[in-house]
Amino acid sequence: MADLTGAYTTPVPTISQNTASVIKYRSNYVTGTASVSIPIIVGMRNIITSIYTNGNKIIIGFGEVAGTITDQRFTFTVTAGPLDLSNFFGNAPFTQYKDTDFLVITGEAAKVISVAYVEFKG
Amino acid sequence: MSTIFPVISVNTDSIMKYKPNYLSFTGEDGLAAQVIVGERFPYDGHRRIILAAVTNGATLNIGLYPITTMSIGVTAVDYTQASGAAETTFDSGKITATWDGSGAAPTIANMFAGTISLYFDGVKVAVDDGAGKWVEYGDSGLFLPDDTPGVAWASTINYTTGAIVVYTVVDSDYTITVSYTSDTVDADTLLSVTGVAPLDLSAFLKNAPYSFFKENHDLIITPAVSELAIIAYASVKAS
Repeated sequence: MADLTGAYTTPVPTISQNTASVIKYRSNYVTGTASVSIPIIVGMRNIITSIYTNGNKIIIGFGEVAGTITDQRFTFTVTAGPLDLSNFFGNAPFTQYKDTDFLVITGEAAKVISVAYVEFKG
Repeated sequence: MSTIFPVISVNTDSIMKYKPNYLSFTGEDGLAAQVIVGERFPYDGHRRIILAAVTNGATLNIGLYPITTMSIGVTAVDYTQASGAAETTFDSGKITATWDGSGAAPTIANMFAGTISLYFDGVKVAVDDGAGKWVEYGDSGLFLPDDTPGVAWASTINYTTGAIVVYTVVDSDYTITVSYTSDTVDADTLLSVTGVAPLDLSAFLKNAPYSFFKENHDLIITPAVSELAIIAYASVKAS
């Protein structure tokens, strides 16, 4: 079935037998308050495998400026923090890629966000 | 120095999953200006992969801290460090003294015929953290807490910045090594989580086990002060 006109197809990483192990054991960590921004290297995908925040929401997207999302791809909000999306991303790691400047994760104001991600070429 | 990632095989999951060790500890109330108050794995060439962690508190930090080692080699000769000469300079952190050697079993009597004195910025440093007594100016043989040679021990020293000067007069076949662990974490390796107590990072680490390893870096896990933590980790030879 052909894509709908104008549909945006997100490129997905090349999968090998070893992909799961590589992703699991080469984690980088980044922590921030209210937002976390991971610089994007062209051709290098930042795969998010775990997120924990003591706030009540997580939004993931892409942007040209650190801390600001202009292309939103994921959002989840609960009534009150903490919000642990580790199990969620354990099943479905965030693998989306865009040729821009930052992968941005934002949360509740003044709340701490901790993210585990893997740099993955492909 | 770049971070060394582990060699990955399709079997890695099984090895990590079924070789866990467990360790329970409580966050300490450090001395002023002392930052490192958690459980410490001194660098020994083994990678400790943290697979799960739970704490009663609301925070947990895991990171690698650089260490610097200076040795005073002594082989059957007397050795005297020139008075007032600085061996090395550090910013702030923690000092550990260990010893190794050959010959007769080291004791206070046969290891140090002279004296060992540790100065910091011209002021003697001697803070007893309960683990043992640190050397003081003019003391003799106090590297041997409770006369138990061969067991590395640590003494926490409360200081901020300056130079460490080691003076020694030794008359035996031993090497004294003074190691220093910075209290400034290697930022690229830090996993810092703040949440709501009790904090359970098992799901987080299940997806992303902490596996950083660097030569001459200690792994330190720091819960909140007075809060209990338990970790599961696999110890593998670094590769």
